[in-house]
Amino acid sequence: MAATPTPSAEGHTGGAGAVSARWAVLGSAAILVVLGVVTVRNAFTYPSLGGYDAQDYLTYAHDVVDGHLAAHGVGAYYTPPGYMALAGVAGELGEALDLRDPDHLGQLLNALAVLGTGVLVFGLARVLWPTRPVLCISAVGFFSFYPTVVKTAAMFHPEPLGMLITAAALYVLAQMVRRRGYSWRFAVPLGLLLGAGQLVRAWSIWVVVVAVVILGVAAYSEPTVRRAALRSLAIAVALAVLVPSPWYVHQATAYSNPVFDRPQSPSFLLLRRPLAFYVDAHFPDVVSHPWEGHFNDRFLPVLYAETWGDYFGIWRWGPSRRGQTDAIDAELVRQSELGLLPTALAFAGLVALLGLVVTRPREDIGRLVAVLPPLAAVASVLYLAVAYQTPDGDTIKGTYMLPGVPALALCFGFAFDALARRRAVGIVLGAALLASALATLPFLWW
Amino acid sequence: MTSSVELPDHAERRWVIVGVGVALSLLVVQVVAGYTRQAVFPEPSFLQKVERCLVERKTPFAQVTGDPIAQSAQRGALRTRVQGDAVTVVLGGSEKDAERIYADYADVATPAVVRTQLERHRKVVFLWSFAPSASQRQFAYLCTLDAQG
Repeated sequence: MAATPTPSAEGHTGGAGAVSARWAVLGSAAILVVLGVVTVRNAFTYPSLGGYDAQDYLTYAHDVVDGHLAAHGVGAYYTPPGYMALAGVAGELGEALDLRDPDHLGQLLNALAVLGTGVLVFGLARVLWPTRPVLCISAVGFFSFYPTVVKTAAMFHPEPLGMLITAAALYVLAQMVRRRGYSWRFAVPLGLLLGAGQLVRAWSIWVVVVAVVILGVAAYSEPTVRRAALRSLAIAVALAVLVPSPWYVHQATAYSNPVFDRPQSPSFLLLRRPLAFYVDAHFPDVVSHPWEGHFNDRFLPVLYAETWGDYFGIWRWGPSRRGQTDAIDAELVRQSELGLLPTALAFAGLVALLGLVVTRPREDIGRLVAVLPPLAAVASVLYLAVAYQTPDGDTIKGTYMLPGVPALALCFGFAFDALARRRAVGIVLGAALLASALATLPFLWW
Repeated sequence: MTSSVELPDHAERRWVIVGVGVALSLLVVQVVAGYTRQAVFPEPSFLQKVERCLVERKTPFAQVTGDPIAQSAQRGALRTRVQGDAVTVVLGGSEKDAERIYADYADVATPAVVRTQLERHRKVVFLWSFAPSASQRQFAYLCTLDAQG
């Protein structure tokens, strides 16, 4: 094992080729420029009707602009109106500008949300690990070339805005933990963000739980700030409940459930699917045939194939584009192959941070900011898939775990940074990941 | 603010290596399990999937004889009768293979047959005895859905 390098005041980490803090900023900025170009361009080329449930969201957005919510029990009535209101106004602006498809401005909103989240990923990495420029740049790289992020950014869909708000809430949490600043100046914006997130996507309620756990752990493990942390926790939770309460009250009054009123099977949740649903990745089909029809009743491969490729035919093939061809099949297979290394590294980072959190719980509470969101996001998608199952696996989507991606990018960066301290490993891994990102670019360009 | 936890330490690297080990182990388990499943419960061939669909819909079928073009298809071929119209269903191994089969049929068939009775859906070629109706076409299309991709 190589000796552990000590970061210099300028932020050099040594191992991975002495990447300085300045280079991390420049490199991250360059990556975000590429992300911006791709997502903004896609927002105007991808059909507004092309994304998941786009017709429902478009109708909803137009209704909100006209001053009312979705019709009773119709379309996306269970979705909070936050994104619909903003996208609807953007659509009005598009009409005023006489755009060919005014709703492209609703998609542009998502492109900007993704770009903003990319900046926050960099900010999160800087706040949590300020002397690790390699971690910063690799986290931004992972986020920017993660296909489900770029795909959803092109759609008329509420998830990217939900991701931006979640990332902002995590950023405030990270600041609180690092500065040990548990004052109302942080607690109020945190609570407002947690509440606003639920006005965009009710499923993002897990972020509130994450915030509660982190502030609770801070209060438990740091006696000197216990009172302040608990006060912040109370303020944040109060606002997180207060801000979306009109929406929840409306839904609870109009429907049987304030979040999602679809009927569920009465059997025990975990027994609704066979064991294979939870553990079987359906190899080799997950790589050789990563499209609909080959493993509809398996959680892991559908989530993976939809995240890295186009399992449901919403991007490269299907109604929004054209039928499948051998060339498209080959591209999807390539995407599945390209996803293996980054996924393995992100998973390794998650395991490592989780191990550190469990074995050295008092050492760094900030690690929880990276560990908890991906776990909570996967758990929420899993719950959705098990509680509301469909024959084609339609409730298993990488898109639904989008708010967990910024933290997953931090896990990836953490693993890459640690491995790259051995110069040879860093060069080989870095080259492989760079090549992989470049190879993914044509897929991301709609 | 810089605290000691920001410094790279051995525990962090050890845990990352553990993480890499866990990721690789899971990958190996999935690969081994996948290939074992394939060996123990082999997937039906594309031809068998088409045959199963026809059996489920009580539609008799037969092997193709005396048709070297159909018999040259990488995934096989069969003859059946869909709602009274006989059809040769030829399963190409790729779009290129299906294009070759289509071209071979087109070379020996009359222009009218090519126009009205010869069809290709991705990797599957249909040669009908008479111009098919929409319903006959739909039936053949749906029963060969797996083989088309």
